[in-house]
Amino acid sequence: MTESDFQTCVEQHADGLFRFILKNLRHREDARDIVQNSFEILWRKRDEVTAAKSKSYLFTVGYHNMIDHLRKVRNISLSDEMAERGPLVPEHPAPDLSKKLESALAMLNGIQRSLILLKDYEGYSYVEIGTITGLNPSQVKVYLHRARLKMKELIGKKENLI
Amino acid sequence: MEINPDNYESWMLSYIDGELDASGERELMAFLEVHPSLKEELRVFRSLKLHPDPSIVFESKEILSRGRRAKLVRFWWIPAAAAALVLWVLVVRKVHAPLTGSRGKGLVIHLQQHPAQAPLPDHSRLMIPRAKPVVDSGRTIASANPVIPPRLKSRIPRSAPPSGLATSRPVSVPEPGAVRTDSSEIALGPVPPLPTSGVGRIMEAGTPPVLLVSPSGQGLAFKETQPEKVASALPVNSQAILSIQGNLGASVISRIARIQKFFSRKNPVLAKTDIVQIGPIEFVKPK
Repeated sequence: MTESDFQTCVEQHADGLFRFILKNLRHREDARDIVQNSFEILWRKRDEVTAAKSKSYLFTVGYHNMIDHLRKVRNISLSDEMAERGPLVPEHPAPDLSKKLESALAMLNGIQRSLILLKDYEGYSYVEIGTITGLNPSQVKVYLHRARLKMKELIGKKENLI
Repeated sequence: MEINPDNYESWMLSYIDGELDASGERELMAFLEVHPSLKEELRVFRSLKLHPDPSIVFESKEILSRGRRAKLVRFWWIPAAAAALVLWVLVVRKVHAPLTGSRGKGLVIHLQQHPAQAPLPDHSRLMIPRAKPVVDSGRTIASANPVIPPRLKSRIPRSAPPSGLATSRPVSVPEPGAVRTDSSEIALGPVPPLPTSGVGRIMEAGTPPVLLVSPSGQGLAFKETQPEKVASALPVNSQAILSIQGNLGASVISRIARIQKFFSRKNPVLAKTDIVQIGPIEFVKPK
């Protein structure tokens, strides 16, 4: 990719990558740090990455940076530990649906949250998500469906959703 | 796999994820026509889709351009302090006149150089005086011993130093009380030439420049009538002397030596700069 392609990539994907990382980490400065690091890596590898693949490469680097960061801070949770807190709605009704969804998303485990964000925020296919996360497409499909069912369960009554 | 009441959720989720092909979508819609009660469930799944928050943006994207990185250096003062020290040490190569006005917080370095300095000898090398009892006029001055931490000692060259280096002779250092300042003192700043007479060999041609480090931010002064006591404390046959004055700990000296050693690979003058810690000499503000 050329320098111009890189600048385009910055303009088009910096916000998306930042949202993705921020929603996962919930820490703005750490998210900024990871985004900067990801673009730095992309810049160093620009001769090997085509412009068409730059977004996918960027999110792959960002995702793995994020996982490394989570491991470092010992905050990673691939279990359902957080999700076992129970449904949100009956105890603390959220004022609107989007906030309920955000709350439910925050209670998913790390991989489930990442899959939903990559799908809903960025519109990646199962295959592309698999490339980014290192899962195969079948795993992506299963984990993602489980995540959505979990969110449905967390939010509770379906009248809260519609 | 055909859609049925046991697996319809997976079909619905694949549908809202956009992963069903055209035939799959037709099959799902036909199934919902047969089971209209499940249409409500499809609406629920649709409502679970997240939408990106456009208010979340990466501010100051320019720092991402061209791979530049403006990462916050949390302990910025450590490299800053080291860089400042190294910068001052490197000045010894360039400066040919006394430096003045280097006041401020932290370590301050003064360069003292005799105006009649001859070309620097090239046989000097990094040398740190070994701690030995210092005898001055028959008195032992324990506080004048150079402080050499154990780890640093191991880095001192074990080969015999060239003749004349301070490692080969006792270091004579003025006692604190012996250098109290008065009206006859010499203050660093523009340093007047030290009198040749009575100073001894160190003031002969080839006198090395003396780099004096003042941790107090004040100028160094010593009594004009006793310059030999200061001069005799300094190693000879060195191109420069980094003199550390004050109550600095051994660890500080060790770090200074490491920095000097690191940069001396590319700077021959630094490689020939001596580090000594001399006893406390009274500091006064330059006039």
